[in-house]
Amino acid sequence: MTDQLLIEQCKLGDRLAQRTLYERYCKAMYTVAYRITSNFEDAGEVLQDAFLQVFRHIGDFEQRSTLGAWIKTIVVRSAISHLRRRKLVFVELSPKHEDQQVDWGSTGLETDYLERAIQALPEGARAVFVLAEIEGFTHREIATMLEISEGTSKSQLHYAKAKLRESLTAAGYSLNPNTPQ
Amino acid sequence: MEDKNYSTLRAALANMPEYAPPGDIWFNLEAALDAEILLDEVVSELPQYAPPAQIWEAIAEALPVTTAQPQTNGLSIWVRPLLRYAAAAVLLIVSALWWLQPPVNTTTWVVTPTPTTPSTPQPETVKAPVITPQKQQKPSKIPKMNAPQLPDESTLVRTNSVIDNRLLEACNAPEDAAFALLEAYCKEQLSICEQPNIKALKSELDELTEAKTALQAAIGPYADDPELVAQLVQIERERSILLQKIIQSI
Repeated sequence: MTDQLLIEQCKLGDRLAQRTLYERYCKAMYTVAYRITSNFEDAGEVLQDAFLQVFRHIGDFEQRSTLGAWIKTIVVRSAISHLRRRKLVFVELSPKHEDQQVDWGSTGLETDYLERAIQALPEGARAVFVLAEIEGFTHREIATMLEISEGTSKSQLHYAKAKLRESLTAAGYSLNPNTPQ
Repeated sequence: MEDKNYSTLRAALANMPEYAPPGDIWFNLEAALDAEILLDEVVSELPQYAPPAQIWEAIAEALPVTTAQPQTNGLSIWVRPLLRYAAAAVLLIVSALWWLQPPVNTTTWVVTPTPTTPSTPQPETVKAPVITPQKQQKPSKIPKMNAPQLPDESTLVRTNSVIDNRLLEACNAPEDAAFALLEAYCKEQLSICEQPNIKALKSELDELTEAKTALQAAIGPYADDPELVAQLVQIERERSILLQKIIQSI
């Protein structure tokens, strides 16, 4: 079933279509929610809230973007508002952070380490990193969603990267082509 | 400043795992969707009534020249129209009870002074005291009509009272939906209904509801006791007023 047909059926409240749509996007959206909230339980709540909104407002979907992108925006907003309820905090940064270059090295990064390092980031920086580097939002979009300035979004991203590199180095990843220590 | 070896990060991010949500999320979601559908059905089934013209006239008289915008609170989208229906139903009930109620209290016993000419024809004329409202509460305790020891002589006329079935209907049908709605709302919005003022009103409402149930049982299927019906109407009116107060507080 195409997304278009799914949308039409979901607009009619067809439960089977709703289920199909959920199944089609739930993994990707759950993953986004998890990366932002850093907690599977919270991610589950976010996913449920977000899909309820999707089904309630699917009649408003104007198809300016893909269905997946539209759902993702809803999930991200839901995750952010979930974080806000716990007070989303951004680490205060000095301007020097943006001048420092992050070197990722030529060694392949193991995703497990990277995942853990991302989850260990401070909430605000993690949200910006996930939205910018994994989900592909622009700083302007991130600034709007997180209600921060574009400058803050950029500096938080840089800070997140520096912290990630630091964590990975501590975990044994060196900058040279050798395998992790 | 561009990251050095940025492609290393991109390559790793591209291989990041995806996670599958637990299966119960869909079932929770489905239950929430079902609840919404049910609610929509309840809302769509709520009746609408045209109030008597006199009500608007009374409102118009009481209205100041400029009216303030109604305040909106944090109620969810479905609750506002629902409460409007409930308020309309309550208003209708109060009006109906008011208009349908017999004009002299709710008693079926009328006390008139003893006529000086005994020849005045009266139906079922007997000697009896002036009957106070307290004595009227329980028809079984009404003194016998021709009790000889009664001092204050008057003529008791028993009217052939007919219970207006509309009164009984008004005590049953339309407002039940409004009360059920309030119950459903309070289950969902526990924090609002737990506020002390609303809680007190709700508790009073519950007591009256219990009294109503007991009275309905006492009245029985034939509803042939005007006194009890009058009490039922009174209770119902008080319940309606309480419900209206609760809705206003919410």
